[in-house]
Amino acid sequence: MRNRPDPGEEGRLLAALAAGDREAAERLVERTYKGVFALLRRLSGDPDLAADLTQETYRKAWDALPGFDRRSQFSTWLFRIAYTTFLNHLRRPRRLVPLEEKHEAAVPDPAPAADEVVGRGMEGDRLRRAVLALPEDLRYTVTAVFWGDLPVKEIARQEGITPVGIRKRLKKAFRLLALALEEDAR
Amino acid sequence: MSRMNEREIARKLAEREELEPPAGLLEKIKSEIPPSIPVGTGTPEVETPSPAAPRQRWLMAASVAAMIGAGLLAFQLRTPMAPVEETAGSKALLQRTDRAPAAPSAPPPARMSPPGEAEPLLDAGQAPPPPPPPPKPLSRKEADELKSLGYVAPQGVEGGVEGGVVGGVPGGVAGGAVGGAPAPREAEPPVQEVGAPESVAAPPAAAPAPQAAAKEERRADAAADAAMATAESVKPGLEVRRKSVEASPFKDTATQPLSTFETDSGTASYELVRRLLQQGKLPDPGAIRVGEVLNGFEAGGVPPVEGAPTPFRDSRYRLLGFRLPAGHRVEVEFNPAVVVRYRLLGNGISALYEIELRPEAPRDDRVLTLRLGATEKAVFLSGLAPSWEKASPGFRLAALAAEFAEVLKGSSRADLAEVARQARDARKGLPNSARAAELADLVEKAARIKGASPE
Repeated sequence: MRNRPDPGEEGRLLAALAAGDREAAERLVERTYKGVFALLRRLSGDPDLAADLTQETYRKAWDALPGFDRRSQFSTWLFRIAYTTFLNHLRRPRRLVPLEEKHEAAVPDPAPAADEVVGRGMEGDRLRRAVLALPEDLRYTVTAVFWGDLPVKEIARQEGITPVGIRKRLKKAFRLLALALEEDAR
Repeated sequence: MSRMNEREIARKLAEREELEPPAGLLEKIKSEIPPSIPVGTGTPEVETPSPAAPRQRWLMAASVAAMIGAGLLAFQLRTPMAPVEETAGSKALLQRTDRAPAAPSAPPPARMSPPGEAEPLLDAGQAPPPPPPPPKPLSRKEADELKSLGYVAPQGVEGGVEGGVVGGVPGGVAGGAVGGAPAPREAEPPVQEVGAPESVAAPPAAAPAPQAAAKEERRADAAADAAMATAESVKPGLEVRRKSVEASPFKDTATQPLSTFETDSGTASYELVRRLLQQGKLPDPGAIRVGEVLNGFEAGGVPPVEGAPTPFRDSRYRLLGFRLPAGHRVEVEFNPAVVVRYRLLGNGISALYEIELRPEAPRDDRVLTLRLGATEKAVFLSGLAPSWEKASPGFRLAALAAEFAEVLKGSSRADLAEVARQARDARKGLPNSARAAELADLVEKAARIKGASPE
């Protein structure tokens, strides 16, 4: 989503789609699919998986479009679906353990499961793994800003916080990423 | 390896190679477009340049000017001067003031005046009046406390002093430092509502709310948030302006199924609320942290995970409470098939969520998965209490405390009268609980101060 789609044009296409113009959906896909694929490719590090997830993203988007109330741009909304699709893909079934008192105090804060499944050995993979190991709010913010090229203002609106809040998240994320990369290099 | 700085990290993140999609992907996606796609009918949001930024800069400048003026005023008031009664001019002025009420078009008074107080009139050639009597000064402790809460003088400290910043900017400072610009509303996420005859969430007598009604309700929530962000209330006794603070917004599970929070054992907000209410004052909405209020009413015997219908919303809504050890990051993944949307009310030692269930959700379905470290727990609808009354007393107390904190934050969603009624019930139900008694007492105090008797 390096070249941001024009919101006005998006609005016109959505209006046409609402009026039953299927070609408008095709135009929307043409305008956005490269960005969606690039995001998923960066997240997954696997072009084949990214292509599959891109298709899945659009399937979900068509299903969810009746509920899209246009408070954010279509491309921002689509980005969120792509991101969630990727996370859902990563979530493998894990053993369910009752949350007893004895577990609670001793459990360390681990890296998320995402960290365990992404591939290794590619250039930039360390950074990607470090991003995926960030806490959810920071992970989404970093991904949206750097890999989704979403404007800070748009992300802030979607997240229900101020742009300053987004920048604070980024600052915190940079600190954690620097630490993680330093650890990884040792 | 030396640690990279922020700039280097940002540069690395921004680095990218061209990532062209594979051939044929576009065609595959296009081939899967359904023949007809209903589109949400929400009004497109129009990008308008926000006037907040330049206005805020202007208000900040005015605030600085007003503070300087106030400082000069304070300095002048501290210098020895002839008593007002001893100056002939002032006697005449006082007499004239008695007779002549202030003209409606009179310029703004050069000091903070109670409503209706007349300003003296000056004749040409008449000696300027002595400085007005100083307003009743706040004690240093009181002033510090107000400052720490974000209270500022109303109407931009109009006037300041002679030769100071006359007039200031009416309304300039008030609230400016407290809330700043209202936070933008969260994008209302896509929601697909399906009415279903066999409703888990709705009581048997009531049909599930139709799609339009549910959507309307969500719009009302959004409007309430927007109104709350701008609503202001003035507390005359303190001559300070309070500003509502936007409550935690709902998030749609279709696009944001993951929520994280960190447990926190702080109780500063609880102590502040208790102290100020006992002094007959309302705390500043911006100073309230719901989680810290929750911590003040932590009770024993609460299960780690508990949920129940909320008495403050209709039957589609549930409150969920998680009681976890402090200092841990917890991840909650909601199941979009069961939960339409959610919001984190507050996170202290306990965290409380409010969720809206899908009417057709089967009772044996998973509501969410809670992750704490390497441990997971699935929470099912069938595991939630069937009614508010059947929830544990500690859970109900925490839920009431959270709702009370929302009232103090100025949330239009929260209903103080209902909180007061429920708090009285909780006190009756927990006759030996000092916390239940204290909560009921504080709620009644808040109601009295707000002028809304719970009775």
